[in-house]
Amino acid sequence: MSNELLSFIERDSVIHRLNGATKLICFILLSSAAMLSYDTRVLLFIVFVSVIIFILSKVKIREIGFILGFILFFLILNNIAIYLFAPQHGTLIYGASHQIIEGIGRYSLTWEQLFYQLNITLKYIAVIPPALLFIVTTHPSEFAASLNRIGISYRLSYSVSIALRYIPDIQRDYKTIAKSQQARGIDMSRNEKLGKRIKNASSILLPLILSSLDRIETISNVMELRGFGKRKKRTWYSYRKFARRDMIAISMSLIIFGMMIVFMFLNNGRFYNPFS
Amino acid sequence: MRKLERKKAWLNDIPVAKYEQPIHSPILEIQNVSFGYPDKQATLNNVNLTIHRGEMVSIVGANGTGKSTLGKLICGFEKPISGTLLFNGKNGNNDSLKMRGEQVGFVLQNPNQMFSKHIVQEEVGLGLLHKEVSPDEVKLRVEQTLKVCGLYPFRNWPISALSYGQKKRLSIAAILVMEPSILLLDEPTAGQDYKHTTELMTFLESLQTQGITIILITHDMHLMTEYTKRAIVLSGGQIIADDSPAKILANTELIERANLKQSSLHALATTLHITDHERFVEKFIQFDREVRLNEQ
Ligand SMILES: Nc1ncnc2c1ncn2[C@@H]1O[C@H](COP(=O)(O)OP(=O)(O)OP(=O)(O)O)[C@@H](O)[C@H]1O
Ligand SMILES: [Mg+2]
Repeated sequence: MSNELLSFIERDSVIHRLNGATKLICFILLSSAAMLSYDTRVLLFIVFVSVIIFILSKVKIREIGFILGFILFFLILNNIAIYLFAPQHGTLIYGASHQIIEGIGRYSLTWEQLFYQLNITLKYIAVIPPALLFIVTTHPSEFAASLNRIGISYRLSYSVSIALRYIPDIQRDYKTIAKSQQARGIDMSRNEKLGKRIKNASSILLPLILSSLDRIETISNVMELRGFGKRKKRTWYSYRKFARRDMIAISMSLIIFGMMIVFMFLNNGRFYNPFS
Repeated sequence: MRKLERKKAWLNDIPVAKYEQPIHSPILEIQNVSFGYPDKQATLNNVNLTIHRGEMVSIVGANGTGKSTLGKLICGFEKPISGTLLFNGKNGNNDSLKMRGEQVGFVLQNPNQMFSKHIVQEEVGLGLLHKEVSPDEVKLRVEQTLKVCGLYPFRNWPISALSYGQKKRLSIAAILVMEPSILLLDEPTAGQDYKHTTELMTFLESLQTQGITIILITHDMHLMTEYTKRAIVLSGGQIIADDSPAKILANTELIERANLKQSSLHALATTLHITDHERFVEKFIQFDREVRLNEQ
């Protein structure tokens, strides 16, 4: 049986030991650096750092395999869509056109377009590991504590962490319901046609999500009865003090973010242009 | 003292029904089965168990000892790490869920994990629609089952509007309608009032006389004593006893080990200084049944 998707994976690693707030700050810095920049050199460097972080975390690819596949699918879809709708966008950006293959109408493949789409792909690859790692190496409770730490109201922080906490629950419920339906003769395995399978799966998922939403109201009532939200502040059971490694991690992320800004000035914009 | 004598005389007057042993043909054999959830230590350890056709057996034990897990293995939701499950003598380890579902009907502990339809009636009919049953027969069987489970008045209700006890009965109805040869119920009477409990149990007994094998997972010691002739006690993922309920409840050491609770009848027997608990309980149940039958 596979693990639950996108739920906390317990392990002893440097990344796990980092403070939740640290991880959040580093994640925001790294991903916004990757989002803002189209500079291949910067992106490559962030990818490199991401891979190192991933190795340090001791999380195995297999454990997040499904979600990676899912993202990869969207990455490919995105690339195809860009090419379909804007096949000459690269030329527009880099102000040059080096054709590789001649195509019908505007669909000629150019080095500029290829380079542009390579940068898009690099962005994905740079952002995915920190994002996934942030989720799977931070315990939901600690995550709430860290959100609160960086100034977000504790009511909101707590809601986010409850939502994260329910992801594995819903997945587990889904699996059990699917099995009990299969035992009653509703085929959801690979033997069934894809359309039918999707229909059967959604007939489970929809009520499940609705009932989970229902549960939110019950839970918030119960929490209120227990005195949640009465005071301005609260203490956190899973709060961790900042340690030296947290300072180091934040500094390194700041340096990378700073580097991205420096390169922006050097390039006179977000793009690095090897064609001019 | 005279009072006590009278009680004893009364006790002796109650006839005890002769229990006939079922014909011993195994329908389910569990052989050396072990199982553990991923990243956890083993939940079931080398379980051996044979269930015979037409038996009504209860499985009891403390919270978290693996009763539901054993149920999941029997109905194929989980596969054993080692060991085999034989159904009618045939190895069922490679059965698909669908194949297994035709033999074993599993009513899960949590009724919310069994529904995918909106309306009560649709949910009960769901399993039949995927079988080769004529629409008229589907309708008939759904209605009959709904009546048996006391849900007929609610047949057009949305499932979300049912109470917990009603949902539990709906989950039982959804399985009953499929007419499996082994019926596995995980705490069928949890959250049920006395009337619905007796109705349901009486119905299960009638199924049993038709030759259907019934396995009950329960925490209700009285239910176990009253309705089943054989009880399996699980503790720490192993079977630590397989005996008649009365014998199990008479064994204080076993009760202690498996976190069971003596039924109040045993406590009553102790208070009345009756030493033969087994017979007292048996007679009480017999009497209780007669009274109930006369009321109807
Ligand atoms: N899906 C699961 N993943 C991991 N561990 C599980 C899962 N389901 C149950 N367990 C664990 O397996 C053990 C046995 O659980 P099980 O549900 O079989 O107990 P049970 O005997 O039915 O208890 P109860 O009387 O409370 O219903 C428990 O320790 C539980 O924590
Ligand atoms: Mg259970």
